[in-house]
Amino acid sequence: MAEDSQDHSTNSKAGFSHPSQGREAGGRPQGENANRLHSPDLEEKQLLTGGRPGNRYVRIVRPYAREFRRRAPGHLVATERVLRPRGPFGLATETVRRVLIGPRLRTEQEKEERVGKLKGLAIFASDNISSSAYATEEVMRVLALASLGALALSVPITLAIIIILAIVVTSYRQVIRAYPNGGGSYVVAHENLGALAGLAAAAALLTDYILTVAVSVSAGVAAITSAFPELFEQRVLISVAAVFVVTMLNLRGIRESGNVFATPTYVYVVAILGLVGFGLFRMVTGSLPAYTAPPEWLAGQTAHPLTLLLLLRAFASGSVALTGTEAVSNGVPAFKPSEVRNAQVVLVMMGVLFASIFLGISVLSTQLAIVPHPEEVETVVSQLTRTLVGIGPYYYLIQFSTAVLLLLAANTAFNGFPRLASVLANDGYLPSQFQFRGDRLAFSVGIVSLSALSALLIVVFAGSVTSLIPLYTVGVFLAFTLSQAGLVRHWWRLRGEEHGWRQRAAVNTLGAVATGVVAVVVAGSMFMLGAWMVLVLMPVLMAMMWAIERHYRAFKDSLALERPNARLPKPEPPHVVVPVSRLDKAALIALAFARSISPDVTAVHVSTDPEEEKRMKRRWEQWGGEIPLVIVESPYRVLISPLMAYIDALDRQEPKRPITVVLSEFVPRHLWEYILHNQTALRLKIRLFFRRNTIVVDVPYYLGGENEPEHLDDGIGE
Amino acid sequence: MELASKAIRSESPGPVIVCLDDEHDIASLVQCGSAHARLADRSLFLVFLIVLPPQRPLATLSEEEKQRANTLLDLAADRAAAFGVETTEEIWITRSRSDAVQQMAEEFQASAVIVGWHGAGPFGLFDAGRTLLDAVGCPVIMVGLGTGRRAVSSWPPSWLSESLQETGR
Repeated sequence: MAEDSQDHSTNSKAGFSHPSQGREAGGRPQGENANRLHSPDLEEKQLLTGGRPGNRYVRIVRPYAREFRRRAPGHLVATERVLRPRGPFGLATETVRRVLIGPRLRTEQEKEERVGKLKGLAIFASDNISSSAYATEEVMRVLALASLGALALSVPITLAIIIILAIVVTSYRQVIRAYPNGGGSYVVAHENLGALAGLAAAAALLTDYILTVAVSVSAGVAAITSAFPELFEQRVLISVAAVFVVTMLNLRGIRESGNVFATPTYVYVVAILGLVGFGLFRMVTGSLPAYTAPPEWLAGQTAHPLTLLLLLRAFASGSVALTGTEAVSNGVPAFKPSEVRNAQVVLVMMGVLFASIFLGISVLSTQLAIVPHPEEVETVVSQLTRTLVGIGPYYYLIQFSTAVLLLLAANTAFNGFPRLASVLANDGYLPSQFQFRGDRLAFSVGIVSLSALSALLIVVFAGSVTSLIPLYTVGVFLAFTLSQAGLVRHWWRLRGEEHGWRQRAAVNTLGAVATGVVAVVVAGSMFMLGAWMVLVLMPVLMAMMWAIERHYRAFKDSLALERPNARLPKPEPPHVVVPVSRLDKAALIALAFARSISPDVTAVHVSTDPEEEKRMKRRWEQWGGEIPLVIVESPYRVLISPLMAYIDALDRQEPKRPITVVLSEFVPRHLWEYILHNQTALRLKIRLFFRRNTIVVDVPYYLGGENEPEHLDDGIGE
Repeated sequence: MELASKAIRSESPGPVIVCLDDEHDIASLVQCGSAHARLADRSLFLVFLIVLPPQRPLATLSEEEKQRANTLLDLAADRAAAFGVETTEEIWITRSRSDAVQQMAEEFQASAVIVGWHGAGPFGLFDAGRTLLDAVGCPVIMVGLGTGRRAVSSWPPSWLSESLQETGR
């Protein structure tokens, strides 16, 4: 595309400025040169005549090149320089922010890591595998309410949960196949079952993510306080601090880096499998050590009858082990090709590993007749390890790797929640702020919201995993059920195209029924223990998201162009009102601007003092400007209401004409000087902002006189 | 070496001008310019020179040409910033490279002009650098980049590195 061939000639050297003298440090030209052509692209083009006859040059000056990079005509890219803070306060804030969050990243600096099966297992399975650290304990805690003998039922309940796990894993293999771009429960339910089911899944997932952080961090801290019981009293503080650290890491943009996840996950898996193997070996050889629970642990317990409800409660508490199963299906695109195959393999590996650890811990704990600590000071895994290998390096390895893995599991929620929130915001179900990505490309609002809500839960539930579990499981299984049911619908829709759709639909039907039954069991058996909170919260969340979507839809509809080539509306010149308190330089700038946008300008002076009113009239006559002045007397000494009433009256005279109010507002040099002025313009601006058919123009006047046009002195007589 | 020393001692208050174009290695030119600007405590002025043939009007620069110039200038400015030198940049469209360099050196009272040089032809013929040296009033540093007989093989030369180290810049 050729440039505009019309040269905007300047004469000879008039257009030159010294590059080292003619600009400020930031490269901005000083003053205005009438011979330069300024373009919207912020370039200045000059045609110059050189020293020799016939020599001509075209010079394209880029005074704002540091702030904007030009990509194409009418396309500028802002550089990091425009974000540089101004003033000491901004500089201090920026420094703190840099230290805590790190330097800003450009949008294109985002990197998507592709992972293989081993790293993928570490990344996506950490949430699920980490559940093995507390799943057995939660089953035993409920059974122990009946009697110590009831603890023997831990293994059958564990097996029942593993069967459910197998069904869920098999069903989610289908999700991976059907949604290779990542099929979260929300996406699957929304696409196949409609908006309401999608919202239900979204509400369940959002609460699930919040609880994942609260439960994982609390359980991680419990692993530490088991090793160091003197820290038990500080567990809430430590948990909140851990949430803060994970939040800061996520705000810095830490991604699910395979290397970050791989080591702790595999250390935990190898260590715990080693412990389970060692324990089973001793069990088979009949050399298991003796375990005796302190009698005071049992003294305070009141025996509950071993009812079906108690068994269902134990099953429901243990079902927490299934949390995180869906993570693999959400992250299919992160796998190396073939993505679907790798994700399916990882899902099965995860299920097998988790089931082995879970079953192993349950079997050994039952064999040893381990009793959960009534006040959660020491975890079952800690007791098991202590009994099997004693307190030594291996014990600390197990405790620390458990704690680190649980914190990483919390981190997976920090990845999932903000992304889901941004997807929901993109669909209009959550405020658009959730789509905002911060300096480090992280969804800052989502991260901070998750952090605040999970920290609140930890504080309210005093960092107790057992108290948090009843809230946790119901949402997880609801999301499972909706996802599986959605997939049944999906296969039904593809019945003409997809070979083997019946088998696939059957698998997902089984998944939907199984997880649905568990959801009902969990909700029923744990209702009074706290599940009711989630069951109340979820419809509220759904209603909120529905209302937000309605608002955004109405907002978009009202702003949408009726046709793509809509022409600019041609409004009549506005009736301009300029409120003036006195005739000064600031007022004259406002009046001059008002005159520049419309011939119909009225200056309005609200008078609260007859003497001042006379002075104003006299000065207006002396000035001799051609703008009429209207005095509105306010005997009750109120400024804004009479002015608003005058504007209303003016508007009623010609309702079709817009009214523009030009406000003169002076800007003091220092922030503290604002308090010396009564800010009438600011209050008026706020009132006018909500008035229909009214445009408010703010004309600032900077105290200090650096930008006073010379002509303003004309006509002002003292 | 002689010319470079003159540049460093120059009393001119003006900037060090680096002339860039499509043909020369921008990295070497900017590195040289940045080193001199820091040593002489002068600002750095980057100019992208586009020489158009007589049949093309000066104002008919294509968008591709303009965008390429902008991109290379951005790249050069980023490199200079990496050396800790602030720059200003312009695009000059001209008929004659040496005339334009002479013109900008005079107008800006340049303390030095840095240009790329591919060396001279046989018997010193077609030596554009010589023409430039004769025309420009301020010190001119030619950074040899090509494969000509008199091309400089590496940059920066040892004397400049030593000078920078001595002055602690």
